[in-house]
Amino acid sequence: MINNFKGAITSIGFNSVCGTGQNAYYELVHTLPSEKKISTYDPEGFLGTKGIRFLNNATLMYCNLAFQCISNRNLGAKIIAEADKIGLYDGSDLSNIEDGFIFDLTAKMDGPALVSPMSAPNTIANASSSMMAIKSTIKGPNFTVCGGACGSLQALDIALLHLSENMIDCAIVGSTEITSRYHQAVRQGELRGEAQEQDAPEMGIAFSIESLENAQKQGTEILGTILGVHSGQKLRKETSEGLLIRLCSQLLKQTDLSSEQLDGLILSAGSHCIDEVIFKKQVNEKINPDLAIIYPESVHGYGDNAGGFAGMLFGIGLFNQKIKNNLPSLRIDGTPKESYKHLIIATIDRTGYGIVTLLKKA
Amino acid sequence: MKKKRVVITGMGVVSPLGSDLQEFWTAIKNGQIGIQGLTKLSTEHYKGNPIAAEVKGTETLAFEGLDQLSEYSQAVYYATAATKLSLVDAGLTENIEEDNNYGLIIGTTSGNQDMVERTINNFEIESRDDELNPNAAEMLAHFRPIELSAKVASLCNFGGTNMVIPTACAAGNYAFGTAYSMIQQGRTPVIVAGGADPFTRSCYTIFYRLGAMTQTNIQPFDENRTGMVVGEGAAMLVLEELDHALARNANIYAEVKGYGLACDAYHPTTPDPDGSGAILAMNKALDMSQLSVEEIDYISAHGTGTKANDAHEAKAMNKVFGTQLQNMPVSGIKSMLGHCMGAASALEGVASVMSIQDQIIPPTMNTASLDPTFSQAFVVTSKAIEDRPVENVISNAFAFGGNICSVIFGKYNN
Repeated sequence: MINNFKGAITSIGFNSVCGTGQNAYYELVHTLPSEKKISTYDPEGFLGTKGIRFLNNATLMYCNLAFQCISNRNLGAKIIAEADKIGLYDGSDLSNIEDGFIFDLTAKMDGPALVSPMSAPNTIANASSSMMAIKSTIKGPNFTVCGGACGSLQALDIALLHLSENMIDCAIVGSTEITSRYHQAVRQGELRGEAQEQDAPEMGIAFSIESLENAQKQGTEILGTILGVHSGQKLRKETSEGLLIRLCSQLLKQTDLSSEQLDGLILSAGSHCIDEVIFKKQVNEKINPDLAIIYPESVHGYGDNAGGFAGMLFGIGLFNQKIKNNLPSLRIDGTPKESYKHLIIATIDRTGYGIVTLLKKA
Repeated sequence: MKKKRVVITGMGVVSPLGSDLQEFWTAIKNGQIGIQGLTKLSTEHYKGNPIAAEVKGTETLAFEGLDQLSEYSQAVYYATAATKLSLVDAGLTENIEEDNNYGLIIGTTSGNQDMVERTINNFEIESRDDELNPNAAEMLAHFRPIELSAKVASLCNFGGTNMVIPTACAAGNYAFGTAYSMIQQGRTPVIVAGGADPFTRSCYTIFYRLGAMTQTNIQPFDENRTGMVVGEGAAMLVLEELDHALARNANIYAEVKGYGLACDAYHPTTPDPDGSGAILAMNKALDMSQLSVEEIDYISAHGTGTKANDAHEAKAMNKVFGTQLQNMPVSGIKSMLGHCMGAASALEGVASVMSIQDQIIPPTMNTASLDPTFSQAFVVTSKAIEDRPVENVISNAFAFGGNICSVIFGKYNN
């Protein structure tokens, strides 16, 4: 609940096997490339060459995304003038697992004297946003948060919290999806023998977020408006579907939006945690009898923590008609609208944690 | 809309100085040291005199659900125990029966990294090419950081937000600050917030390789200080909206006045020698709290006992507090507790709150002679200070990556 505060998305960073920039996302969802691994995480060379061999892939990609936002929003002068009024936020999950595994394995097998101290920071999940602060000289809040499949929206929530308190003027919020054998093992372990869904390709998404009021005053291009965020944990007697219904209902109430004004619900991470038939029934009974549920994971695969932001990008694509309802392999439960103005983006984690955000067309 | 006031109504600790709040506080007041020889790792490869601040004796804790946590990280166990201790201390039940939107925020450094260690050890993984079979994968899946907060929230039946903040050694303060903002904005009346970290081979090795660990004692701000000692544990505070606490006649320990977040933007493991992030964070905490430096009675320092940390912290305190610092009590309770990583600032938060409650400023052990290179001296004593009023305390926490958070706790005045 952010007391009527509205956030404006003022720039987008995207990185995938289809390249960087917002259009690369639309190419990704239309072409569904079989390649999962990105070959160059910072193709623009924002990070330069000095010292980058010690950075892990998540850090390289996070920094690239954040620099895309800085460049697209022309934040350079702002950073020089008020370095502490910009915050960096990272919605993480397993960004450090590969480094943590190899570090520990080396310490055990080769002895502590043979681990590299240079690799030590990568074992902690705050490495990416911390390195971005060093590279960009941003001195505002540096905030990594882990929310599993809800990680990216969780980071967005914290950024909005800080914006609403005037702690910062601008937040750069990113989330990266990296693959490795350790990531795959965790996913296999989580599924415990259940059928494996199609893994998401490596992908990173970042947004620069400002208060809507300030962005409008400055005449900044607004790519979407965030009306609110709401999150919660499944109560003992609650189902996953019930949790999402509770969160969506509270979000609508908090933002004073009637359920009739809602054009769709995008469940963009954790769809494997719910029974879609039960969910659809409850959505139609308790929120809106005509509401369609959109499952973009059917298009870009099942990831760890960036799914929420992928859902937001998907929603912006629907707003702008860059993405159409007849996208190959897109699963939609219900009758979709021809155009969209208000969308809920929802994510749920296997641990029973959920988060939803309400996105409005700019 | 008027912002809500946030008070502290319960606390729970799992620490190298015990897992009972009063036992912990008595030990801190009396200068008891919880650092001993390393037992949770083979000492074979760690040269010299490997020491650690290990948690022991938690088997006496008897809460529902603790016995179901063997497959989870030690951090989940510590956090569950500390959360349940804090709930009981707050006069709430360890399981909230009714529907609620209570939140849970846990800061950490290593998170569930011990699950990596357990997977490597149990499945005898010897090289990065070794296959992870389905059982190993299932064990490794418990590495996911979200389990740390979501599992604890489930065990306590909390229906509100929960998250893990992995901002290393400042993470406990990050959790307090975030909980404070969320309650202030009316999102929920109760958030249990703090920090938890397991003892891990990785963490011990990191500080060993960085040459940051002492072989003897932690001597915060001493001219001959030689480093820190890795510790573990958890501390959780019940942060509650004031009216909610008053309505149920809760015991109020203290009030959260504000906090400041900043980043050094300097180096992954070394603090900015100019203390830029620390200065920003302390000033922002003072601004948010609407307090002047004259109204701060005591600084609970990050005080790791390393050359770099203590020098930059002293510089930052000098810059923020000016001549006020000369008469300011500054404590470094890591001299007793070791550096408990993500739990460190949470444990220091507990000590700060208890100092306000009991009007006693805890001592700093092993500091014989304040470093003369500091711009000005401040008050560091090996005896608790009992003759000064403690209205407001600022607690500093600094982390790898230059992640910094200062929190101000104040006496609750109605």
